[in-house]
Amino acid sequence: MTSSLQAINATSHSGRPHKVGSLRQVDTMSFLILPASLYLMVAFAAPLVMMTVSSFTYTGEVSLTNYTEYFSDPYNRGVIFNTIKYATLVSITCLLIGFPFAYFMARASTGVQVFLLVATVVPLTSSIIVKSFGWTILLKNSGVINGMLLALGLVDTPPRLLFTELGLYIGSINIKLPFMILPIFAVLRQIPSNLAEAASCLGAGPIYTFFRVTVPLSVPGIMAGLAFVFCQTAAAYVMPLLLIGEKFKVMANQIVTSFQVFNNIALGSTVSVTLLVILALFVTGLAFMKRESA
Amino acid sequence: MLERNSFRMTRRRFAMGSGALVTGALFAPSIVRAETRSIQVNGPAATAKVFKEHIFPEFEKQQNCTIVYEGGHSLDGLQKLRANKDSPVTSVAVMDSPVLIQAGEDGLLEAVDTNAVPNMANLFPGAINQDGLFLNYKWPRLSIAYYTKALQGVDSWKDLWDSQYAHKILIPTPKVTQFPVILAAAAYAETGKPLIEAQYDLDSAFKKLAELKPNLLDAFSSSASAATLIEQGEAVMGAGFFSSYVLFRTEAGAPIDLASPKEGSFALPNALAKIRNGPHPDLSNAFIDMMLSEKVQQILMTEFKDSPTNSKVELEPGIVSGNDLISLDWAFASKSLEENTKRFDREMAL
Repeated sequence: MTSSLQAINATSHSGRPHKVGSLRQVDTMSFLILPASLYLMVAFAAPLVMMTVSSFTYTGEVSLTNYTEYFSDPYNRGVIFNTIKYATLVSITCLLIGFPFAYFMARASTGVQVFLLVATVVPLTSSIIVKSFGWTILLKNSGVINGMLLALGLVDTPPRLLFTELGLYIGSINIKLPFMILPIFAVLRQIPSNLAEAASCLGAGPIYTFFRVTVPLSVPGIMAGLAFVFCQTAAAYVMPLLLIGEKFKVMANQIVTSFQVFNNIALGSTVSVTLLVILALFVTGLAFMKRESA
Repeated sequence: MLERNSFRMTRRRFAMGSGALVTGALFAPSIVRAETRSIQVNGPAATAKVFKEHIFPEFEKQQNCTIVYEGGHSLDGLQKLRANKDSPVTSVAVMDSPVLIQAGEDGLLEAVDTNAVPNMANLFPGAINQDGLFLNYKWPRLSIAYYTKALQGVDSWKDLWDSQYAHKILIPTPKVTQFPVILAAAAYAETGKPLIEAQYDLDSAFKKLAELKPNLLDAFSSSASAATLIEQGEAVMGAGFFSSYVLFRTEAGAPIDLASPKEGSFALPNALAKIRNGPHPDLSNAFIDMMLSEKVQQILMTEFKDSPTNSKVELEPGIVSGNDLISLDWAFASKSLEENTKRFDREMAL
């Protein structure tokens, strides 16, 4: 097996074998990443560097003043807390709902699997603005959800859902759920079914097998799903704006106000870099946990 | 013989033909365009349809020019003007006064006078701002929109604070031009001062605004989506709605109308200005003059149901004279925008 892999690695695209790690092979590979690197440099890295420089510049000099001013304001700390709380609750709820769904999907027959996969992927084809607007209609006092609650006799008067935190979480979890389901499903379907059978043969019950065999093996999918959902939710602007409005401030909202209303590039950059650092720390933490679990 | 003279498509001929077609398609329009001049006008997206269908064609024909209208949010338009300050691509900006005040402070605008814009002589005095730096071309009436299935009308701005309307009230955010209206109304409700004086009492305004939180459904940045909430009965009143939108929905049979509170309604300062060093300054002057002419002001009144700023225009039934609307101090509003936004974010958040 090892020798055949070496043989493949040592064969160029022309089919002619050449020495592994030769200058010719390195040059060809480097050339292939140039277009993507160039694009990312111009479209992502350069603006990011400019933004970071701006956040560390105060009256023309390198300084931490923008950060000390930002963090010394209790309102700003409240906005950071709101952002983290919002992203965390959405991520955890998506995991609690998404994992059983992905588990069932991975073990379903091919027909059911295709149907569920299509049902999960199709919502991703419509824009987040359309979906958020859709939720404003569903969450209204006279909307579908309250209509159902009234029809089932579960409530006497329709509870207020639109422009509340509960409404924000209901809508956001629905919108972000596919980003949790898909990576977990991709990992679960790779787990050989005979592992569970082996555990059973050795005397493990289904619950023990699930928590000691299936869940540990699905950690890479869980980590990927958490990273997707947390990062997207923490950076979300449209969903909070449409589902709860100005009453619940998140960092994305603060970034828009800084640039658009205050024309304060330093403040906008400071909030942006802070958000980026929070997301980077979260993803790094996940990667560390994944390594530990492995 | 016949075979030698007949046309045969070869790869070379196909490539040459395709190249000629692409070159023609790319350059021919610019050759045609070179014969007429073109000016870019930045303005609100909501007015684009009326402008393009009822106003621009005649001007383009008279001046043998084309107008490139870029519709969008005024604050985005201001950012573009700032970005192109050294080599402007825009000739005229159609924005609200508070945004044009900022543009003026940044040196982006050039004042006009009656020599360049003769129709300025017919404007109400309040429509000429900062010695002609920017001019109001229409005044939408700003007031309270209400759900007609729940209310017959709204008597006073103080009704917004009535406890029977818990979670049923909409107000504008500081991101929209009409935000100072709710501050003036709040300060009036707190102190009893006339609205025109109350606008300067920001401490009283924010104190009273905080008391509105139990009644607040949402603070809106989009009048259109907020008006939908009123039409559907989710909200029963919305402060800071204007005639251009609400009265058309009323006419269309939607359960929404614009109130006339006893304390008065405000004028939303829709304005336009010439961009400093913008392309074709003569066309900019002609465009501004055309927008202030009686004929165009009549069209604007009919199409938008807003009050004209040209004093010579005969008012249609239901249109309030610009003289009867309260004109806020938009320079003060613009100056206090950042501080007011910070206070609003902090004091009105959950």
